[in-house]
Amino acid sequence: MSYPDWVRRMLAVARAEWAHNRRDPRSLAVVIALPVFLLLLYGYGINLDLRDLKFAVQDLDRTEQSADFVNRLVRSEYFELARTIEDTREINSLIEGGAVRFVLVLPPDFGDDLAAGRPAQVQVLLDGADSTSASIALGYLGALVGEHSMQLTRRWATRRGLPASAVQPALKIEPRVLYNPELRSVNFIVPGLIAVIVTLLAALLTSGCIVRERESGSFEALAASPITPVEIVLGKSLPYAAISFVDIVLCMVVGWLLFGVAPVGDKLTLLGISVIYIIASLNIGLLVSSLARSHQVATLVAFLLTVLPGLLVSGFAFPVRSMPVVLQVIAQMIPATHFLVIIRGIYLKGAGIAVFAPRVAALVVIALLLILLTAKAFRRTLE
Amino acid sequence: MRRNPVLIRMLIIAPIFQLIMFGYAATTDVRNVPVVICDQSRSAESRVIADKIRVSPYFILAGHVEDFRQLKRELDAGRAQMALHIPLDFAKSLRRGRPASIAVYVDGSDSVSATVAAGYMAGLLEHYGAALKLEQLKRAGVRLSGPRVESVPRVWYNPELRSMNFMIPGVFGLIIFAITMVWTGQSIVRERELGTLEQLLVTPVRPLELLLGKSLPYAVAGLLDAGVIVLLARFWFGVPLHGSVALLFALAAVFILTSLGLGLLVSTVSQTQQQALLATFFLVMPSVLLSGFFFPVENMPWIIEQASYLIPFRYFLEVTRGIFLKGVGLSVLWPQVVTLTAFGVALFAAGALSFRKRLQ
Repeated sequence: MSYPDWVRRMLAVARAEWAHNRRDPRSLAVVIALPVFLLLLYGYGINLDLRDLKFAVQDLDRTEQSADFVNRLVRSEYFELARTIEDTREINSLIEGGAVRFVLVLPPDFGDDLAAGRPAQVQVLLDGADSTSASIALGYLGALVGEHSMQLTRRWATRRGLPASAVQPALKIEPRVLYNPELRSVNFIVPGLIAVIVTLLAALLTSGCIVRERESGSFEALAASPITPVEIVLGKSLPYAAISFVDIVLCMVVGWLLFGVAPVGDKLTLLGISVIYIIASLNIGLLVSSLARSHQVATLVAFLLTVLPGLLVSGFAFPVRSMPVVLQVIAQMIPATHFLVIIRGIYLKGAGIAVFAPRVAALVVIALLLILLTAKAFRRTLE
Repeated sequence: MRRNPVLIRMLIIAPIFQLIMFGYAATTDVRNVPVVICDQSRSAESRVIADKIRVSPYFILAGHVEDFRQLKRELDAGRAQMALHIPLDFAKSLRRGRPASIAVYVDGSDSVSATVAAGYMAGLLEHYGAALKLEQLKRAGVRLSGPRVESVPRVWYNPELRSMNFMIPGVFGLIIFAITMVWTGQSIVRERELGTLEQLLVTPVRPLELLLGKSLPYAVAGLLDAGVIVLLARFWFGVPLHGSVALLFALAAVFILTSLGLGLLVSTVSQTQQQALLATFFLVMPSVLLSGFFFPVENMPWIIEQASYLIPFRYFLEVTRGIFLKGVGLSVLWPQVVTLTAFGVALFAAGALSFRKRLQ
């Protein structure tokens, strides 16, 4: 089979790039092993569901009612009673030292108030330094306090002979969790990791690509050849695209074998779209490489433009909707943002390509733009 | 290094850029959650719910849908993260004094934000439910007070629970860590690649002097960066700094020692700059995620919690958060200080030794 000229030239560039990489087996090994390693690490290590939050209690009341209340927290899977405080001075050091997340203080008239049918207050002293844990702890606490209050009111009402309907809440809220019913964080983390880590590595690899040639002087030879800039750009990214693709498949398999996380939707569609994503991400690295003057600058800028936005602004770790509008706009320009929605959608929601069409279009547009920009930058440096 | 002015500018700009990005992007506060409502009741009472959602800072009313199929489509496409389904007999149940159901659908993909958002929605609906209940009872002529428990929360250190105050001290450590480590490693490997390292060896420069010469500029740059970040954190982002600044910088210097050591170690095992970069990545990513930067260490599986004791960054995080937010000093932080110093000395020594060995 004879290929058209431009394909042959592109493959020649690809072969040269691949030969260069073959001489550096350690980098290759890292690029294959690292995503799997990180997947294992985070899959097992990250537990976003907060449980067994440590707390301490100072019960100044010591009645049946106060013990009853404390017991409800002790029995809960969300909290773990770390200490019963005897001396008020302990409170400071417990919170300062981070030994507990919050301290519960029950006042001396807690039981009396409840027995008389009055509302009773408890003080909650929270360590606000870790705001996420603190917010979630407050949420859990609110729920438990509500439950306890409900029970107390019901008992009190029954004793007074009031009808049951008087104590029933007006609204019956029926929560239903879709797509990830057990709220397993792994289901969310695995597709996210696959999307981000794999291409981060590839982008970092390509950042050295062109700068290397310039620094070592083989650039002129490349410029003198009949290969067009677009062919060079595509040819150079081919080996890295292949590596990234293998990485993605490998991670998907590992995710399935070890964590039982598999896409609910169509895997072939996912793989197809990931090719576009890989091309887009690689070209960011190549663009940096063709603009940078030294390798050090290239790696630094590549790091700033791929790793940082990829991890922070793309929605990988933090929800894009919670960010200031400026960052939300920037996020739309990052390939990872769109791909994350797609891969999570296919993994968790089983949605089809019709739903993601606008996002896929965005990826294609970004990829094309980057290829053109890179080729243009390349052409400029040739002169 | 002076021959590369771009690099010097980068050394100062990069951390600022990173800090600003992190500061604004790294938020675990849940906001602007899009909600769609399928209101089949269309009563005055059900419309109040839509109003409450519209007004809430946590939610955005993304639209109304006609039926469950449309509701599911919005959630599938990610155009909504939550959906409410208010049935036909909603108002009737309320008027009869029976519990009126509302189904709340939550996109569980992101379990953390789903939990928090669900919590906010539950709070909103329960609040409304309590008001409705009071009305019902008033109409029935029943006066219900009765016993209940009220919690009075007081948040220490970070009263508005801004996740920024939690993240930025961590970012402070992260930037110093990454920068000093990446550049020390890179610069040494670069010299090796270019062959200038051998040239230096022939000169009367002793290996120790070479070592210091290579790492000192980056240590200084690291401290300068630390200064810039502290200023930005305090005056731009408004993160409180209650503790001793001097202590913060002293410990930052110790921490820089550890990253320099790690950078040196990286440089000895890498032959190319690319390898150095990958090796750095290999070390930084697990450190970040397992050190308590994003998620508390106590919640991780036991074996990983034990592994985190080996990560110097973990101790530095406790130090920065302690000094920034809690205003604590040596009396509370001395265990971390001791550990950090030990790590710093050990890692730097290891790095120096292997550097020397590599030269021979």
